[in-house]
Amino acid sequence: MPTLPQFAPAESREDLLHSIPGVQSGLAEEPIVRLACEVAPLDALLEGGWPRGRLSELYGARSCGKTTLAVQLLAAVTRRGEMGVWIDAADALHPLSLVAAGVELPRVLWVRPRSWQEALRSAEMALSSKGFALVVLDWGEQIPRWPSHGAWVRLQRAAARAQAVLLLLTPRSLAGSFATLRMRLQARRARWVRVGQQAFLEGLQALAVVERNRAGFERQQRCWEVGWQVASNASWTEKACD
Amino acid sequence: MRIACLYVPAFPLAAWLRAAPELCTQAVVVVERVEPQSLVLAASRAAWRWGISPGMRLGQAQNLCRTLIVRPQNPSLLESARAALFDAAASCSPLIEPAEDGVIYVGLEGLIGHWCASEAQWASRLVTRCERFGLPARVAVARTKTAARLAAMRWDGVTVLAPEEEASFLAPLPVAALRPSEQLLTTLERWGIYTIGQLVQLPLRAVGTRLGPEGVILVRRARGEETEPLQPRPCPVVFEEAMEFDSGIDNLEPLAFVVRALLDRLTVRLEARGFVCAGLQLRLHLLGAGWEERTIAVAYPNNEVKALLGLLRLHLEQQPPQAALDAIRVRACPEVLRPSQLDLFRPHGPAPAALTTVLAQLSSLCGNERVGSPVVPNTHRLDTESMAPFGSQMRETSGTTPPTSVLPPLALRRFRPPLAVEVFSERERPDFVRGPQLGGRVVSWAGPWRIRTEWWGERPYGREYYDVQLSDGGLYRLFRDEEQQQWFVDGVYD
Repeated sequence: MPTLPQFAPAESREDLLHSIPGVQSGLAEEPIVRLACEVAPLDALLEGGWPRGRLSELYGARSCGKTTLAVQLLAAVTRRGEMGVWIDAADALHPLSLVAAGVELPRVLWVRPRSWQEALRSAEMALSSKGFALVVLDWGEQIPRWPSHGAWVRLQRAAARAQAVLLLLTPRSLAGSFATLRMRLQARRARWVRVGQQAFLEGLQALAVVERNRAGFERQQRCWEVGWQVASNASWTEKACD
Repeated sequence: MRIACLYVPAFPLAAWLRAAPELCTQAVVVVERVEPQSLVLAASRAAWRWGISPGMRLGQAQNLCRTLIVRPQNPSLLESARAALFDAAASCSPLIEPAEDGVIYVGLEGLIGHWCASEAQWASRLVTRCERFGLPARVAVARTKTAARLAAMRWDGVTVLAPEEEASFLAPLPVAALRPSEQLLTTLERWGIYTIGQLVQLPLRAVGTRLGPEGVILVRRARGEETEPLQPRPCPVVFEEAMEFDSGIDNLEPLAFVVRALLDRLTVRLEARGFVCAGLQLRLHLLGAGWEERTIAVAYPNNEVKALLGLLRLHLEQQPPQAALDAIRVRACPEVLRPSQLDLFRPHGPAPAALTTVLAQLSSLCGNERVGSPVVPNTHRLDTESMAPFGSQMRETSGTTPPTSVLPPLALRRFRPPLAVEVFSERERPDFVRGPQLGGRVVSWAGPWRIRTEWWGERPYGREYYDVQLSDGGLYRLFRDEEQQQWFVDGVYD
């Protein structure tokens, strides 16, 4: 009668995994450290913040609030005494907006590459110093060519080594399955207020949808609002999961 | 005051061996010029074993040893070695008097008992430091400069002469060791005075009558009395290393190899004096084109050779020399590293060396003017932004800025340069916007906000700003330039 192969008992599974070189690192579940952007509802949506050591993507059309959210994350990073890099492939960064959001400018390295190839290389270089908590790669609105898979893998690995949040700002999803977390922002409405004869742009309401989250729950969405002068809990509307 | 004499024997050779340590075990001589009639200025121990000694003609020396390595005297190397020796002494005492090449007198006042337990320990520390600088030094401590110098020239390593031992040490030495004038030495030899011990026996008054003040000074020096007090000089803070090449270098790889050796020596000197490198000045002597100067900023002052070499390499790759090099000088801009207490509860930034390298790489990739920290100039103009070198203002920040508000303000994405657009107005407000990358009916609008500034200067600034929402869904900031009478889109709120 043929004998069935004997499987290792459950308690020796870890030993077995550790005995195979190169396997245990892929299988070991490392706890994900998160970088909170200090906007409570969004941090709740992201289960504590953006995952460190991972490539995340934040995309949306014009005036959806993605830059504001990235600036807010940068402000949170600098407030904690850490440093961030803004790779500005679009050459669109507005320093006054950073000041208004409470970013400590000396803790921000602003890189203005002349092409998307330079932007990718700049991101990899910045991550190689292993001292920046956040690297924002602002792609701009023009995407002349789709980056190769190899480029994303390199960035993923660099981010993992640096234990930094690599946040990609794009008008549409670029990184695909290489992004651990992908959030889409969609503008709902702009809010205008009239004081006497004068009108003011007060803020924006946007819908944040977590389309992909390999580090937590997917398909969560919330409305978030920016630019309101008066904070109100009522302005945050939690939506049910799709 | 006790005085130490720091002495490096065969200084021209020591300067060469400092730059080329691989020659230490070889038979090497240094000559003024590589000609058979030139005199040998210094010879290595291996050369001495072949019977070669200073003062010999080069041709004779080469006859004695076929494998003799001959090096011409190199002023750049000598200068660097002099400075290094001075730095070694300055790192151990503030009272320094440089004498001839390879000799420095150092005052020990106030050092023993505080910095070091004994004179021997202090002297050993100085010898060790010189060895780190690549200079084989001897140190002797005595009551006078003469006794210290003679002891240092006589014995290797560290010598500490107790006051009661000085007379017995000096007595058997020849009178010539006291460096009298030739005429005086001849007179003394005619009298039968050959050693310092014999000179000490002479009555001072009689010597003064017969030989004058020079004779008196010589006898007092022989008796171990102080005739030339230590004259300390301020320490120059110049850190420069130089190298001259026999043939021109036109490739980056061999140049990087040389530069690494120069940086190694520079950083050791900087560390010994308690400085860090805050910038590098590179002087390249191009064949047929003279000297070319370059300045390389170091974002984070540090003494990491790897990081500094990386900076230099990137700079040279970016701006390669136009001709082959036959000499190079690297000068470090020293800066005192300010000690600061790190916060236990806040993360530390990137390592200075890594940051320096990354900044250099980014600057090399994107250009110097495209890497830095954003700066908001103190002006009413909304179109001016600038960059400061990253890290230059880091010390001024506290890192504890409170959040500005619970909800963040909308961020603007600027168009650089602003997009010229056509704006159709109705009842003095924008009604329709048409331009590149955007266009549509104005759904909502706010404004105008008028800004007029610098009307007194050459570039007056007068603009009317509007926030508009177009039918394409975008929120834009428009402005109308009063001078150009033209509408522009400054940016998009995002």
